[in-house]
Amino acid sequence: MLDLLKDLWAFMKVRKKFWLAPIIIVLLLLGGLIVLTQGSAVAPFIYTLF
Amino acid sequence: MGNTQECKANLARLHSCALSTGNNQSMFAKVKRLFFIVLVNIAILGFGIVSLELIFGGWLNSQWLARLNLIRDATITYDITGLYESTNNTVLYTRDVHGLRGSFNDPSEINILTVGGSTTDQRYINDGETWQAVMQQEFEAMGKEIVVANAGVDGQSTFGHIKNFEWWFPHIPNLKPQFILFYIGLNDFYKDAEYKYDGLETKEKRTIRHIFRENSALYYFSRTLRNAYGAMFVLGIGHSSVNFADIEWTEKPLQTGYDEIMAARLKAYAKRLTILVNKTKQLGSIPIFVTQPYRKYRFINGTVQGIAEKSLYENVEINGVDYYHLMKKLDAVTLDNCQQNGEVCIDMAKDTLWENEDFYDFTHMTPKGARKVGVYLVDKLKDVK
Repeated sequence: MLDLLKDLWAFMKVRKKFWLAPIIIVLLLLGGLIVLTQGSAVAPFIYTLF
Repeated sequence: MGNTQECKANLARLHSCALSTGNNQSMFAKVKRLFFIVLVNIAILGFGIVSLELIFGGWLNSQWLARLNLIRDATITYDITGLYESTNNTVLYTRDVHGLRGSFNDPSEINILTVGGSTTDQRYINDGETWQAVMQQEFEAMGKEIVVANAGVDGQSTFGHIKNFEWWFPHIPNLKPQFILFYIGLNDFYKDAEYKYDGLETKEKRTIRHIFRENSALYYFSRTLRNAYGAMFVLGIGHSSVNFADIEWTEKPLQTGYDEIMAARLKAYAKRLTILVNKTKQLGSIPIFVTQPYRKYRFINGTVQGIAEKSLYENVEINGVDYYHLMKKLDAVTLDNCQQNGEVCIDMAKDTLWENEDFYDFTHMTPKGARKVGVYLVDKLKDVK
């Protein structure tokens, strides 16, 4: 996972594609929210104390 | 000759000056470019975050129930292999469109609404085998048509129960249960006394921060991850399988000053119980409070035995016997509060009918345990008018 992030950062740095960073962040958040809020197969295994 | 040298020196100065101007211009261009990149990035990020907030948050949707971690309108098959022994390796878990579990057609039919955490929800117990289902079957066998609905939510403490009355129950049409049964204690035992999942006070005291916390999808996202990490990896209270035959038991506690350890937590807990009672009465229902059994301790010939394994609680080391004494403090607050208000109070935790086979981990019950709970509660409630 860390390697993937490093590779992504290196790619953005070399190709000067920094505009990809916010898109990647937003996509990660989107994925997380879909998992947590849309009753996905993963959500039931997350035990949140609140 | 002299003129030539002077002329060369002037030329060198001019060249240096031109270079410096060029450098400055190039530096300015770089800063400009960097500024542009940062600006574009902030704009894209801002647009993305605002879009996510509007789609997933509660800003445009007053019935945003995801923030309570509710599952609605779903039938899920769970594989329970390795969790506990069963003839069938899967269980069915059904929630209706309102997020309730149980056997009824309309919320208006509900007589007893049960509220609690995972021990009420019973995620890994088959639809017809939860203690609510057992209660309904037992009442039916007595010739009483009593509908018992399950509004338990995994991980919910009294903080979440209070929020149920604001965000969930008012949106269930025709919901007017005669009783609301709170099966509580364990999650509050672990929830920080200083936890700020409010405004628990009143709507008048709401600040912009409260509104943001209640409606922000990203705040919900970070809270869920933070609390899930705490519950699963720090406190270890998620669902798991425990082999009780391997457990080492002890009769000696590690601590003595239980009042001191629990003081802040008990005060905050009592306050939340009062809020729950008021909210239940506002809904026109009668509260019932039930304390929860916990398998980190057991009763053998009238003596308390607890698991010998040590864990940290409020920065002190405790074992299973300490768990018993600490939980007893919390349960005493539940019962005191309940009795002072003249409610229906059931101290199920003190009963000695529990066995290892009733639990698949220290907290959650097997179908056998759920049956015992259902039968026990019907026995206690059968004469309540």
